Order: sequence, then structure tokens, then C-alpha cells
Amino acid sequence: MGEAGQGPRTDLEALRRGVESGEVSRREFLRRAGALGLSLAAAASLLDAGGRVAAAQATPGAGGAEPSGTLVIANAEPPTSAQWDAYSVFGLVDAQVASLVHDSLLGYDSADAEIVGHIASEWEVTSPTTVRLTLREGVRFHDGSPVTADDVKATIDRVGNPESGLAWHGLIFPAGGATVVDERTVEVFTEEPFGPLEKSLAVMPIFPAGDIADPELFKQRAMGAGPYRFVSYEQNKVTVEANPDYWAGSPKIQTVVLDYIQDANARISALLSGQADIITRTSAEQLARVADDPNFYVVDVPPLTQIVYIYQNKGNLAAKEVRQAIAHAVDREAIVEGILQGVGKVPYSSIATTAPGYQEQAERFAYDPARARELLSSAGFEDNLTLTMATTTLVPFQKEIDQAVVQFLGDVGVTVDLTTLEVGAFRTSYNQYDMTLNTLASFNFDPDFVLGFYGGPTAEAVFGLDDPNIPPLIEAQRAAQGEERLAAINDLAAYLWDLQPALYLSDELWPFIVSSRVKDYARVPVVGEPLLRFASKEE
Amino acid sequence: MRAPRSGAGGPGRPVDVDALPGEPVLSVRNLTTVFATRAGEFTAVDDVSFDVWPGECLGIVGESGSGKSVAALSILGLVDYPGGVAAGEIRFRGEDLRRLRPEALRALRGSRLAVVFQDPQTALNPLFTVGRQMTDFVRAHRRASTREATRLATEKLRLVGVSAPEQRLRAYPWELSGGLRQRVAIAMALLLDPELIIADEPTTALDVSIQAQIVELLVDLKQRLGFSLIFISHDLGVVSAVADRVLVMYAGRAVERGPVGETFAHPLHPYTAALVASAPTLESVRGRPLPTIPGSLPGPSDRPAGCVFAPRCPRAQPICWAEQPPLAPVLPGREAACHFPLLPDAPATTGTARG
Amino acid sequence: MRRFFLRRLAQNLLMLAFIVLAVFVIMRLTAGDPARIKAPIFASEDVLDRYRAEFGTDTPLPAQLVSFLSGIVRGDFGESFRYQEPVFSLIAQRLPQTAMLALSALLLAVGVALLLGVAGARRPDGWLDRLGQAIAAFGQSAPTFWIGLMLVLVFSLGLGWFPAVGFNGPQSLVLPAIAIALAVLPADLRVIRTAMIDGLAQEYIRTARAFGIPEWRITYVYALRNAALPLVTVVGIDLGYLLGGTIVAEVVFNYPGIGQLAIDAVNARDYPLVQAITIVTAAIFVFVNLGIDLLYMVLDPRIRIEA
Repeated sequence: MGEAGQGPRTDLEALRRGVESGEVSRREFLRRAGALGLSLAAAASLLDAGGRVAAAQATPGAGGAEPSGTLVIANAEPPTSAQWDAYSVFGLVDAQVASLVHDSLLGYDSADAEIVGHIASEWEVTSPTTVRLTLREGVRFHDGSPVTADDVKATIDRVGNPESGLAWHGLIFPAGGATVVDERTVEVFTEEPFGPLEKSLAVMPIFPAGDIADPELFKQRAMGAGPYRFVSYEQNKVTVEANPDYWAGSPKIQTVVLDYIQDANARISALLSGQADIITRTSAEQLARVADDPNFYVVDVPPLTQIVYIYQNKGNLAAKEVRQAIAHAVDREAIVEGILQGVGKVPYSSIATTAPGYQEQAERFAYDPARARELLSSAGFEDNLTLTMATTTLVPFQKEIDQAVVQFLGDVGVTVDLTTLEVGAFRTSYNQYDMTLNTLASFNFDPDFVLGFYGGPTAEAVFGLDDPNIPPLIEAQRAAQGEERLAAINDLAAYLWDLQPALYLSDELWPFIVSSRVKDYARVPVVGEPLLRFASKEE
Repeated sequence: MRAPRSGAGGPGRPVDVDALPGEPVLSVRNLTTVFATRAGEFTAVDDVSFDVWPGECLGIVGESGSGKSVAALSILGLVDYPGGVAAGEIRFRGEDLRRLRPEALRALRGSRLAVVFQDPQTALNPLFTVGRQMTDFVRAHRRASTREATRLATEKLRLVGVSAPEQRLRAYPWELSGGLRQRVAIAMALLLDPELIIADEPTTALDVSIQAQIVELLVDLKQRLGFSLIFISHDLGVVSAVADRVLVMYAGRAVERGPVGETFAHPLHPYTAALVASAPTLESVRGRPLPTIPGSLPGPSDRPAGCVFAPRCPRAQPICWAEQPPLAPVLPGREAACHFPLLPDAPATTGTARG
Repeated sequence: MRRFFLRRLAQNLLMLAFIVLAVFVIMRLTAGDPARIKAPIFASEDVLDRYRAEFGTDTPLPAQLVSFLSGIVRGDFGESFRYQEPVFSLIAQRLPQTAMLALSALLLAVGVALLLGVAGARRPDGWLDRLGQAIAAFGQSAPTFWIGLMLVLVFSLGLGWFPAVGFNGPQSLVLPAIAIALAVLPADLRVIRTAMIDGLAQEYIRTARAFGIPEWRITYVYALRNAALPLVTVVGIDLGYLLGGTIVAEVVFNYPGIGQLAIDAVNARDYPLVQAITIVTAAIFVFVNLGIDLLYMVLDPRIRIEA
């Protein structure tokens, strides 16, 4: 994967002839060859073979200092697919690759998560459904071609098309599209008002129009305008290298490897032995290993992620009293303290505590077994309620958490029929059980992403839920802007909190352990690594 | 070739039975071989001495467990862990084998000092062809090409009367008949023209008809090639056919020694007498029910303080229980380890052969 | 002998055919829709249907079986759901790595077992024998993943001698090979020691000594030849352990082998990849065992006759 296939090979040959005839500069050759998936060294050696250029010179970074060093990020998962179409996947590594290789209209430059212009130098919300953006000059894709209004339009139109079948459609970007005003101005519109639009534009990669016309290219490589160029995907490792021509200046680290290390112990070993510089989404056990070690520090900026028990809101769990009773019966603080060892945060609303618009609700559903029994009995259950639950190892400490919940429910007279499933089986059949532990994550730092699950076909499929009051609330918060929108988000969150269509166990924190050799590493609450280009590494 | 019996132990000579002309090929003195067992030390060969003269055949007889095979292995330095020679001298052509470096002893084995084991079925390696084994043995001692070694092997096979020797060399031992296998084993022993061959029960595993052929072969080869032979057997008939002199062992000790004919005709030691009486192949007992020696060999822990045969001896007196009789001259050329040897003037009696 | 071999070959091919069918059926009987596993939990039915169409899991099972079998006949095991690459090229990347690791472990185990087994047989209860017994007892009682963790702790994180994870050249083989070898070693050692004790006690060994064959030759040619059959047998059995041990070691050391690929493929319900890995592994297993049968005949002339 990532190796130049038949097509790129031929392209390379053409390029090399270009160099020999003087039509293409050597530097241009190297850059284009890089875009074709060759490393600089390999490209230079190809030139040597051509006999025209003796040695390759490293291209200086625009920021002055040359990029140097290799940073290895060890993840607990590989990319979800080998197809580099970011709009069709929702994986951690998919998002990492997208954030490094691609640039977006808007983006993040600092840990305070302030949205700033990237491909767009300026933008203006001109109506609840429209944003007008001015494209920055000098932004180029890795093949050297400029990022144009047509590229933006092709990218946005595609995800805004309800027929696209893209996973991101409707979650990150609803029905809508873009219009080209002039060469450097585009308007992005949505058919309905869409409150999270700017946050979405900050994570939506802009593809070359050519790639969109020929999606087969996504299978060969990722190519964008981002700070890193895609080099290879081999043996579950994605390798990218600094794009010295990035419009905001070259990143400081030359090579970034996104490695997949299946085993938790192997991940921490890789970190401790210096074979990895960052390990992502660590557990309390791993944190304990480096607790007092000055060679490591922890960066903990999760996207909006929640650990919840997904209920099937029908049958035994059709009655709201029963769901509320469970909320009272389970000591969430005890689980977070005892099992997650503090790596988690108990919410008092139905969205992540870090989500914009989060407010603690008046009814906290505090641990109160007596109240739980009252609610159960008012729903007609006296020690005769049996719930089914499936457990697996998808969520860290899932088995332990499930055992604890079984205990807590047992204390209030609810019997749990617990089935252990292998991960693959669990992921397919979780909605055949009354309650299952899972995580819900937002990919655009907006609670709308997750709140959208509670309405429409997703609500039916995931939660067995069909509540006519929810869709209007979802629409309301999407339509609103600014403070009003935060209030609308809370209205929906409060409604869901009272409804308890899921057991909101905790925020899922994402502690990343980072080697002290890595300087200026920071995160914003999205899944990818938009700030990695500012990090440097001491060798 | 010397005929040891002629002129041996004439009346005027000293009664040392080994005092024959010239130097002995092998001279064993006070050989003691012990095994360390969980129960303690077990003395398999206890203070045994004998000589083998050039061209002579010494027979060693005794029941199984008498220590005769261990004595042979002791000479070769092949007593396996946890056993070992504890004391004594084994002089081969004047050299004490016990003082030899292992490499020098190894070089001796198979070349000047050869052996034929009891059961050719197990003594030959089933995984290698006869030829491979024979050439290996040659090349353990000589720099020889495969061709030279094979030629030598063929020659020796022919010498022991194996027909189509080239074909036999390509065969695995288990593809041969028992008699043929033992001929092969003898040919192996002859490969490097040894001065002394130790044949440890070479006929025991064979059919009676083939036994005779093998015995005949050995006698014939000894006469033609002039090597000395130690012939170990429990079969008195075979020993009397092959050996010039005989050493009788019982429970690790040498109990009688002398020329084979006289010894078997007129045993001095009651044990020899009992052995002779129980031997089915001797004329005297043929056709009668097979007598046996009452009792059994003493185990390692119940060896009497005195004569080892005392518990089974019909003539035992109190002194026999108390005091160990040394192997001492009784008659000219004959020795026995007995307080009350059966002298020719006294009638030879045993506890069993009487009835 | 030729007939015997052909019969075994036919038996083994039949078994392979059975495995091919079994893996197809088992994968599909196992709960888990590859489309649902690939998609996020909130994915719409549209997205799922697209995946199913892409994977070909939207057609009825008999149709899937027919296309699977006809693919095999053409030598085409399909494209991985997750890697979107022909499964054979994925396996071709990983299999040599695993083979190298498994072989290193096997050589290490057999080598150490030979050294200690022979020494133990020559001097039962000697210090080398005791050392061997101690290592064997340790290898038998300590699980491979734990040994792996300890090796990393001591030799990577503590002493920094070897890499902790991944594959960056031969030095990366050392620790995982030791971890796997320790699991295999006890059986090898026991078999070699017993066979050597038995071999050295053979009368023909005494014969060889009596004919002045040098001791090293007696031990390593004559007696070891006697131990060759049990050794080959135990190596055949080792293969099973190696397979399991290699998977564990690959996970513990993040070694890029076929075991990790298999685990991920099963979790992802990557049918073509699981099927191909199973078939390839089974084929290797079957043919190595066939090779062992052949080796028997070479090693022991008596078997040639009986066969």
C-alpha cells in the first residue's frame, strides 16, 4: 500500500524525462515525486539513475529551521480502512491521517480551540444557512497544484449530497453544498440552518477535485494540502513526512509514523523503550507506569466522548421510571473512582461535560437505591425485573464495569442476564440486548454530532427509541446561533437527561502519554492531530 | 602356536596356574568393580585375578549375575555409569589399561582388543547398514577411504564364511538371519587383526545348531589367526569345546581356576561341581531330569561374611560362614576358593546330583 | 512407499478441502456483520448496505460459497474487507515474518533442548541436567505472554539490549523467539533426554564404544540418530504450539506477523482474510506433517519396509 502503482510509475517516468529535458526543475520533480508516494531519498536516487542530478538537497522548511526527527504515535487501533476517503470513515487513525495530510477551510492553530482561517483566509456567516469564504493565496496540494474554489465546491457538494452514502453526511455536514462566487470566493450553504457549521468546516478536509472525480485514487494514497505528505501505509503503519511547502510554514518534525500496537502492554513498552513517542487513549494502568517519571507527560484533551449504557428503549426499558431507577441505582462516581481510577468524569446531563452548552441539571440522579426501588415499584416491578446485557472488551475495563452495574442493579432487585460476546459479535448485536456499554464520540467538537443520534432512523436503530419530541429539539439547536444555540443545546440535553434513553456513566477522557523529548505537543477537542505541526522532537 | 595345556602345571612346577612360558597378553590382578545403587554399593566383580596367554582361550563360566560379563566390560573400560572399576590392575601387553588416557584406551578398543557381544540383534545398529558400521569401525582407527574400508570388511566377511559379502554390506542387520548376524559380529571383531578377542556369551542367543557352527568358527579362526580369546558363557558344554583353561565365577568372585578338561571332570569347588551336575550338555547327565542348584545367587545386600557360596553349599561348615576362603592352589595347575575342596581321593558329592 | 505417500497426500488434501469448507461456514455462523463492525455504531442502513454490497455479503450464502470456491479454484482468495487488497499479498507480507520468528524459536528450542537433553542423558542429575529440568519447569509453568512481558522488562526496558516491540531487523527476533521457545522447550527437552538415555543404553552403543568409536561421534551420530525419530515427532507437535505461541508473542511484542493479522481479521470479520489465513496455515501444517512422515522413512529404514 502506498507504493507507487502502475499509474504513478508511468507518471514518474514522464516526470523524470521532464527533468532531463529541463522542463521540470529538480525541486519540482522531488515534490511531485513525493506526491506520487515516493520518499525524497528514493526520488533523488531515481534522478541519479537518470544521470542528470548528482545529489539531492534537502528542501528548507519555510519556517526557517529544517524539519527533523521521526515521531511515532502508537495507537490501539489501525485505520478502519485502506481507503483514504476521510468522509466515509470514523476512526481515530483515519482522523489523524486526515488532519495531517489534508487541510480544511477553517482550522485550529492553538490549544484554546479557537477556530481560525486555514484554506480560507477570511469567512463570514452571511445567513443561518450560509458562510462566505475567501480562499487564501498560495495554498497548494502536495502535487503542486493550487487549491481552487472548484476543489472546495467539489468536496462540499459531495458530502452535502444525500445520495452520496458517505458516513459523514448528516452528521458532520447536512444536505447542502457550495457555490463558486469567483476564483477566490465560495459560499458554503446548507438546506436547513446548521449551527455546528463552522466547527464542521474546521475538520472537513478539502480534496482535489480530481480525486473526487476519480475515487479510485483514494485507494492508492491520501493527497491534500496539509502539513504532512502521505508516504506509505504498510504493515498497519501510516507514514507521513513534512510538507516543506505548507502555506503556514513547514512542520518541525520531519516524519510522523502512526503505528498500530494491538496490545496495551506492548504499547507502554514501546513508549518506555523509546520506540514510540506518544501513546494514545491510555488506561489508568498505563498512566500509573509513568506517574512519577519525568521522562513523560500526559496530555488529556478528549474530543466530546461519553461512556454510556445504550438502552433499547422498549420492552422492559420502555418505562422512563425504570430507566431513571437504574440511574439512581448505579453509583457512577464509585465506578469512575474504583474501576476507571479517575480516568473519567461523571456528567449531570446527557452530553459530555466539556461540550459547549453543557449545564448540570437540577435532578442529578444521584446514587439512591431506595429511590430506585420506589421508581421500579411505581413502574410495576417488585424484584421481578430481568434485563439482558452483553459484555465484551470494547471499552476499557468493560467487564469490570458491567460486573459492578450487575451488582448495583442486583441491590435494587433487578436481575441482569449477562452474556459475554467476542468484540466483533458485540459490535454487531449490541442492540439485541437491553443494555450495553459503549462509547459515543463527536468528531467536530460539537454536541450536535451525538445529539443527532437520538432522532430519526439512527435513534430507532441504536436506541430502539422513537420519541416525537426529540427531532424538533434537534432542529431547534441546529437552527440557533451563539448563546441562543447553547441554550437550545441544553434544552435538548435536559429533555434527554430526564428521559434517560441511556445511562450516562462518564465522560471518556483521552489521556495521551507523551515523551518529554516531544516539545510543544498539544491537542484540541477533536479526534485528529491538527496541532502536531507545531510540535518538535529532541533527538 | 603354543598349546597351553601341554606341560601346564607339571608336578614339579610352582602351583601358580598362570606360570606359563612367555608374557601373558592380558594380566588381571585383584579386579574389583562396584556399582553405586540407591541401596548402597554393589560389588559385581570382587577381587578377581587371571591371565590370558598368547593363543590361549580362557573360558569364564558362571550363572548370570556372577559378574563374568562385568569383568569383560571392566577390561574394556566400558562399565557404564554408575558403575566403575574400583581397584585392581588390568595389564594388556604390560600396559595398565586403567592408567591409560581415555583416548589411548579408545584407540586400543576395536583394534588390538576386540569384542563379540551376546546378541547380534541388539549389538548391531539397526539404523545403519552392515557396511556402514564396519567401515565406521575401521575408520575410527585408520585413515582409510570408504573403498579401502569396504574392501577390508569384505575380506573379513569372507574370512568368517559369509557368502556374497558385498551384498551383505548393503543390508541392515535386521535383514540377516541370527547366525549370519553373529558371523558379521565376529567379522567386525576381526577387522583390525586384534591380539585379544573377548567373546561375551557369543552363542547364547543362537539356535543350538547354529551355536555349534559359531563355536567351530571361533576355534578355527583362533587356530588360524593366533589371537587370544576370552570366552564367556554359562554353557559348560560350549566352554569345554572352546577353552583351554577355565575360570569359574560365583557372585562376583573367582571360585575355581584350572584346565578346562580336569576342572569339569573333577571339580574342586562344590559350586563348580553343582554347575557341572546341572549342565544338560555334558554326557554324564544327558537324558536325566535337569538338576538345579538349590537356593539362588546372593543379592547385593545378603552376601555372607565368609564364603559367598556357603548359603547354598551342601558341605558348608561354620568356618565357611565366618571366613572367606582365598583362591589358592589345591592341586598342581588348579586353584579353588574353598575351605573344603573336593579332592579326587574323596568322592565328589553334591546336594542334588545324588538322587 | 510411494503408495503410502500418495495415500497420505490424498488424505491431507481431503482434510484441507474440509478445512476450506469449515472455515467458510464457521465464519458465517459466527455472529458479526462485517459491515456493522466496519461502520461506526451510529451508521445508517444506507452506509451499511453500501459496505455489504462492497463485501459481497448482501448475496445469499450459497451464492457466496460458490463465488468463494470458484475463486479458490482460480487461485483467487479475494480482497480483504479492511485492507482492500488481495489477501494473498497481505499474507505474503506477513507470512515470511512469522515463519522467520517461528523457525528461530524452533531452532532455539531444539538447539537448547539438544544441548541440555544430551548432557542430561549423559549425566542424569548432573548440573546441566538440573539446569535443563529447571528451565523446562519454568517454560512449562509460565505462560508465554508473561515470559514475554518479563523479557521486555528486563532486556528492553532494563538493559536496553533488544527492541521492545516491532520488527527492525534480526535483533527484534531475539526476545519473541525466546518467549516462544520456552513454551516449546520442555516437551523437546524431555523427548530428547529420554530418547538419548534410551539411545545411549542401546547395546549397539556399547558395541560402538567397544570398537573405539570416539565418544562425541557415539553421542551425536549414533545415539542422536536413535533420538531422531522422537525428535522429529516432537517437532511436528511443536508446530501446533509454535502456531499458538507465535500469535501470543506477536501480540506481546507487536511483531508484524500473520498472527496479529489473523486476530484483527477475525475481530473485523474480514471473511476473505480469515479464510485465506486459515487455509494457508492449515496447508502449511498439513504439508509439514506430510514432510515429517517422509522424514520418518528416511530416518528409520525399518519404517520403509513396513510402509
